[in-house]
Amino acid sequence: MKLLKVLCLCSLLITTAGCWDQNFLKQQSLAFSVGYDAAGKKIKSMSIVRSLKPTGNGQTEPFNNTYEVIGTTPLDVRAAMNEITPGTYSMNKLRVILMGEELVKRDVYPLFDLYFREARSNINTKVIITKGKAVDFLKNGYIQGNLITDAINELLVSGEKESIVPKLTVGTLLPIMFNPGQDIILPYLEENNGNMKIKGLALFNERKSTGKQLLGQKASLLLLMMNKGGKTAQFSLDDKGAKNTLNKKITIITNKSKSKIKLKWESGQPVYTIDLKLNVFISEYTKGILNKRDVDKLTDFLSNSMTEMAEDVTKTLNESNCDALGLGHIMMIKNPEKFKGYDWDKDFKDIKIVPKVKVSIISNGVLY
Amino acid sequence: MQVKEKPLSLAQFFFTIIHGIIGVMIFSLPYIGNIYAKNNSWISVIILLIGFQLMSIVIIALHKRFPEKNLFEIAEIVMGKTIGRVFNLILSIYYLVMAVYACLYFAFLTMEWILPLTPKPVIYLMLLIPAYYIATAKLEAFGRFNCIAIIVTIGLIFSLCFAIPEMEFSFLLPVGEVPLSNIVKASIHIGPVYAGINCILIYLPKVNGTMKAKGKAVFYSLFTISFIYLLATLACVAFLGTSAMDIVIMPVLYLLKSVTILGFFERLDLILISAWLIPSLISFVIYVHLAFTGLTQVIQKKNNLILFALFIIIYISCHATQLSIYTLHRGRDIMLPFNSVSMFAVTPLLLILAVIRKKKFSR
Amino acid sequence: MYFSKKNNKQEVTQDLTKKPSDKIDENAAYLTQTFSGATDLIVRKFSAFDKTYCLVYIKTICDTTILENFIIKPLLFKDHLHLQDLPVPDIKPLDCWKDITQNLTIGNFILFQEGDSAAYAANASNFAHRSIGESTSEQSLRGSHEGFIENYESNLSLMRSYLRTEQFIVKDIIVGEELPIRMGIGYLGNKADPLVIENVKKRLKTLRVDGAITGGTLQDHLQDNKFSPFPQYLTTERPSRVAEHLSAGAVVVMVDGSSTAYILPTNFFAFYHAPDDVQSPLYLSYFDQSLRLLALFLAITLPPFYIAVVSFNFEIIPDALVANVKGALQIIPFTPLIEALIMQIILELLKEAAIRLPQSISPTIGVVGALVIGTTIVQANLISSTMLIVIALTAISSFVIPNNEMSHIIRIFTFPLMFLAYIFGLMGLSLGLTLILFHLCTVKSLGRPYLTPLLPLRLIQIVRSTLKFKLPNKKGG
Repeated sequence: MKLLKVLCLCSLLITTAGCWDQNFLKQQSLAFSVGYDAAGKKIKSMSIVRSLKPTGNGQTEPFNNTYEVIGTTPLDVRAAMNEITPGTYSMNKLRVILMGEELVKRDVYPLFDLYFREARSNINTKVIITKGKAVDFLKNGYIQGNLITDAINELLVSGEKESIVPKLTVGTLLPIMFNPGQDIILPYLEENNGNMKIKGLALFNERKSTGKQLLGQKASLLLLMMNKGGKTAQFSLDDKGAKNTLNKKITIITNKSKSKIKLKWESGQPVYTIDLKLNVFISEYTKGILNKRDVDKLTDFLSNSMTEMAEDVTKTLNESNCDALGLGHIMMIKNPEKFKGYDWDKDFKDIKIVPKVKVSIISNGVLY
Repeated sequence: MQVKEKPLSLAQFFFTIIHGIIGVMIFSLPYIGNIYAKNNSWISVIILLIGFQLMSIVIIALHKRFPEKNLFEIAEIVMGKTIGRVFNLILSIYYLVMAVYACLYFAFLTMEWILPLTPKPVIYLMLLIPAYYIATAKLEAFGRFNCIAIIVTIGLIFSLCFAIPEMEFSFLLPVGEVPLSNIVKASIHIGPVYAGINCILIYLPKVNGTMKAKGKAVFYSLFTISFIYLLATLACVAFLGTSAMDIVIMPVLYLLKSVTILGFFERLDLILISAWLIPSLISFVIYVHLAFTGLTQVIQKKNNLILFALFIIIYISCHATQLSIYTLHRGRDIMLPFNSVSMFAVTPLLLILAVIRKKKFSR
Repeated sequence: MYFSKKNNKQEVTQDLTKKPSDKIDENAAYLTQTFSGATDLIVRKFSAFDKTYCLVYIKTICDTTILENFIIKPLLFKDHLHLQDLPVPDIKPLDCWKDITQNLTIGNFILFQEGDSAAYAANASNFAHRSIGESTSEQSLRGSHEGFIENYESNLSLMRSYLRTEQFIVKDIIVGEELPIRMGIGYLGNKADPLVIENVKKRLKTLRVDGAITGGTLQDHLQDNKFSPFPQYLTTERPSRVAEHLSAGAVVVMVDGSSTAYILPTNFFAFYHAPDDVQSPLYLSYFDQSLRLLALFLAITLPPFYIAVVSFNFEIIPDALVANVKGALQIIPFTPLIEALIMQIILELLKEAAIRLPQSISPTIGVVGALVIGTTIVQANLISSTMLIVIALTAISSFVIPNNEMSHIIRIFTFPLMFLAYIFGLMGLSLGLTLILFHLCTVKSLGRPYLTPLLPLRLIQIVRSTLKFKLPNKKGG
């Protein structure tokens, strides 16, 4: 009995030692976005921390604080941030990572190692590349009165739906980064007089930025060719034969699309054919009534225009040596021995890609 | 209240086997397969599936010969008293070591992912105290608990499905590129995940049901377990690809970290690891049960103090090892031959000896 | 009980197994002495037609009109009337003092005749009791509104009106030496398991108590597992509930002097049946029961989960909510555990106060609770608003549970889980839940597993228990 009492008392000692892993929420400084820029050999970083101002009656109002530090690696930057923010600086709820154009011209992986390696880090963060300096983006903390992180987040979400940017998070970036047959692409944004704009996609090769981007519609087309489009995609095509300038453009909205990439060998060289089938709605057509013959003509016209655009896209990919479509991966699957003969990072620019786009019109809208 | 001779029902037996074999080690299963077999690690899991279905037939055949005896009693009958006792002693010590390994693995998982600063003795106790409570309870209560605990395993599979939009199934594909020897090597290295398979022969005599129904339960439960492992491997390889899996040690948890259900539930890995306490607890208790049954068979005396002493031994041994991923992998490599022998050699050996020596349980 | 002196028992000189004598004076004197001269013990001697009779009764528990009209009058006006032929429903001869005193205390009267050593006893009891009304703790919208009262006979008569079958058997047991209490075991002969009946009888017979039994002392005795917090018997005050369970094969124990009936054996899910379930259509009752089980889950896990999330892993909170929760917590001086404990204690205090308040002041508590606790405490920055929501939800969920004891236990469970969650985070919560779940698996009620019909899975029983009163009449029409 006495031994039992002693044991019970000793067991209570464990709890008096303290709760070792406690990490109170109210002591955290919640960083919602962080931007990295090149500053010589070091990294300049600016972080947006969300705080709340009590407005009485138990209500609070959110507002943003910005902090700027310089460090050598992201972990160094985090430690420096911890020195200037009140409470523990925590990136566990990070929503957006912004990287300046200059910074990503070096190898991008070291910037992400912190997020992959730490068990507590958040890997649902979105990543974007900014034109110019990321610090300029985040400087004000607000964009037209809106909190900047919410604004960027919602902009990206709508971009994903419109197939301008891919659905990318840090977590899904890891497999692509490590896959020798594919290169990463990241959203490319610009800041202009207090307004943000999604420009397109930044192309990478060997985890370094190539400095080339795909802008606007071409970015959407690339995403459709990768089968990574969102709900819809919008294209405005030039009709050069039209007389009136306002009649020059025909806008189509894609509903469903399917892309098939095939690899054929012609005299020892690989030739990739991309078959992209688009089902479209015509949303702007100002040239009059569309009857059946016109519809067929229009289909042919659209298919040809889109194929031209696709050829443009693949030409840019070849020039920048960026294998966004995963063509190397396809060769690895079909003919792994032949893949070993290539230094894919360098040889990609000579690979022949033949895109073919076939458009079929589903509906003309409610006008005939 | 009569004490039932056959306390487990068929459904309880089914879920007990599932939990006895699926323990903590499911989380790094795809990683280990990937080291040797790269993209085709799922083929090694299929090989193991077929292998263990054959093993289940062996187990059922052995049980048919000795319907009322458990594994250790069969060993004594078949091999004679002295050799049988030595065999049982070795097997019990082996399962004790496996229990220590399971405890260490669980502590490593907890320390890495949720509770990094909590001192190790406390984490060991977190597993050992409920395990003691469960181990000293009656078998039917244990069976009922296993039926409830299946919810956690189903939850794991359910959450894996939410990552399907981000999976790229072409990662699985180049079939035949990896030489068969590598695939078989991967199978052997993945094998220890099934280490608790001998628990089937401990519980079979206590199950209430016809021979045919029991056989079906064993067959289907092993199939379910292999199927769950196959799903986990497929999901991880499809999500991460082989090159990324070289450095990610716990791909299942990595996958769960990037899953968001309904745009609302995040970081499922934290919730799942806390809930995974239950299956790891059950498989730990089953290892201790195995060791305890073996020891009582050797000493011929049944006493709860022995169980308590076993727990103390486990606790002290846990402290004696340094906990890191390297020691765990090295321990795994050291234990590999013993694991393979205990899983693949014990039951067929007993069956062959029983057939040769024409030993059958005669009423 | 602190004021009783350990008296020496005073009837050592009188042996209660002795027989009464022929002389009524001696008998009357003996009785007066046994009752120590109690003022409501009336000894009425009268003679008629050359015979002397002595009527002894306790006037506060006897109906004097019966005595006047059916005992005294016939004896006074009719000659040669044998005592056995008196116009009362039952009259029996007694021959030992123990039986005589016992009969007197249960409201019977004793009739002595000069020259006859036999005493005749008959029932004229009229104990004071309240009228039958609805039980205050188990109310329902539809269904019967009758509840048990403290009088044993009335309870039995209520039960008989629900179970009009010869199979409904009630066996009386008198328990206790100093203060005999009458208990009854009721069951349906064609449904109940004889082993269960034997078990219950054995347990009641071994009950040794000093002092009054009001049913509370029965509890330990009826449980298989005395250390388990979960009750292994179902208490109810509604005869319709008892009838429902008896038809499923259970046994009911009724205690004279208590309005609570105990049903054994029981299982975990019986505590979540409300009286209304039988009256509603099938799908509605399924929905209600799932709601109650959800309420059970919330009541146990919500505060510990919140504490674990806010103290350990706030990454689980969705993106949109994190900043708001942090803002709510910023200015609070306490740690989440202390906040939760304060709120729980305030709630328990409110609940206890509400039980004991007289009807006239009880609306005040509602106002005080809502205003002070709800609004002001948040404005004073003592408790965060999110914690208030969590605790309020927990309280509401715990009151959804129909059975009083179960709801009490559930509220108590939150405390150790909160401590575990505070020390170990989500792991602690999962540890606590494992221990509770495993404990539930080990509990047995009279040998039946507590978690039937879930495990062992008895689908037929699940379906039957809700379809029971819905099956159409098989015998055509």
